[in-house]
Amino acid sequence: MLREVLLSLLGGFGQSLQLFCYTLLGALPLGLVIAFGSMNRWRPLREAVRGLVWVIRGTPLMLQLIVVYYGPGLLNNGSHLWGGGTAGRMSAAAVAFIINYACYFSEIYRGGIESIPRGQREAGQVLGMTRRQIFFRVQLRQVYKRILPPMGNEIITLVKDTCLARIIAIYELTYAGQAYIKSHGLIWPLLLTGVFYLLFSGFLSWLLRREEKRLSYFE
Amino acid sequence: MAYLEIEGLGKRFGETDVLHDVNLSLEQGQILSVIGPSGEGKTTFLRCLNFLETPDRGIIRLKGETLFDATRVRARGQKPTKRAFGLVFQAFHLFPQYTVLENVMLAPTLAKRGTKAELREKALDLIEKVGLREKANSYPITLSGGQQQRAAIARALAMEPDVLCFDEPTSALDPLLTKEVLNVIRLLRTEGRTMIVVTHEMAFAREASDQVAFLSGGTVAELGTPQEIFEAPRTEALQRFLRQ
Repeated sequence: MLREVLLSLLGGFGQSLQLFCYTLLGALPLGLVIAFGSMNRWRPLREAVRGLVWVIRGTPLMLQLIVVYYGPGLLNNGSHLWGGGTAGRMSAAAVAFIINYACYFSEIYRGGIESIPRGQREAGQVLGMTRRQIFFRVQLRQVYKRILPPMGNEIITLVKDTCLARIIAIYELTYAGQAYIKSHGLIWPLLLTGVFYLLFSGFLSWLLRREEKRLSYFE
Repeated sequence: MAYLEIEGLGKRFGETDVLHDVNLSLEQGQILSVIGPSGEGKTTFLRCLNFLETPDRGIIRLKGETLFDATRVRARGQKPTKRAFGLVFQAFHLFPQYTVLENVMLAPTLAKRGTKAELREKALDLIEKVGLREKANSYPITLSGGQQQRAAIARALAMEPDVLCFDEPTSALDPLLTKEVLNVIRLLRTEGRTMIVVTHEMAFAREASDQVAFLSGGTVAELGTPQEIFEAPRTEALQRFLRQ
């Protein structure tokens, strides 16, 4: 029985891990784009981006999942944008998660960028460096170091947020554990999912700490 | 015609005339010291020369060539591309994630001023000159304030500016470290570098400059040789300033 449960939970964990990776791959760069949007000199763009961040951070991720998955069909006479089956559901979940997490990341990026002293930019300017060179060669690494702790927080939260995807019937880890209550009347498989989450977030914490240590040679 | 000519330089921030009608000229190899009370335009003057601020009025000419002419800069954000000036900041502003050598090499590398090996050799020469040979591979966090400032001087020199500006380079340093930084500036003087030094070190201004400008109320209130400025101040403002 344990073997069967473990295999089933591993399958669920695979789905969770997939969603986790898609979200990071999409949200890390998109967050930077949104951060630049929210700092843009052109006011209409800046306000529009800040409005988006407000809406996304101000509503539940679960609601956003439902809107992204069912919304297009409702607008378009029941025809399905995401296609049927597991792949369609995973695409919808990834899109909702990416948008949601990109908005949170964007605020962390913005805080990090704005916390770099003005003198760093000016030192680059008087040495004849371009704005792009100053950003990529001078500021980015300092920003990276500063945002690592808050980013770590969000990434650990993301591990556990993946369980929200069950609302659109993605067979992720929590769903897989809970299934044994209905089918076998067993609660311990659900409790066992906690060990999976713990191990994975523990591994990520270790990675993040190692990265922080690697960057401790400068302030 | 002088090497560097500044005519009618002016800068406003909102309603405040921070700088107005600054006229100065400097021969090649001379040191100009700029003294005066805090908050009366010294730093803004250097920031204008380095185009960290765009002047509202005035002309800057170097070797007879117009570098900047306020009447011709119309488009917002348009700035002169030529980097004739270098600037050493009061707070150093070294790039913390790079070693001293990397700090010195970064800008010339990005500007493709030569091959990596050439630029490295040049950078090491400059680092040697400011007395940081053993610290070439150290990170700024491990250096004293004086060492950081000397590294910043080497970094500024690496771009080979025609005129090197210093914005109160020793104000963040204690007397001993101040001495080592001023000695580097003296050394550069013997090499014939043209420099503009905003400073509160009166003894240094007196001994090391060819010209001293007293900046007060946003303009050059008095200009002369160190003897004229320190021994025979004409304006009351300068007399009051020197008594402090």
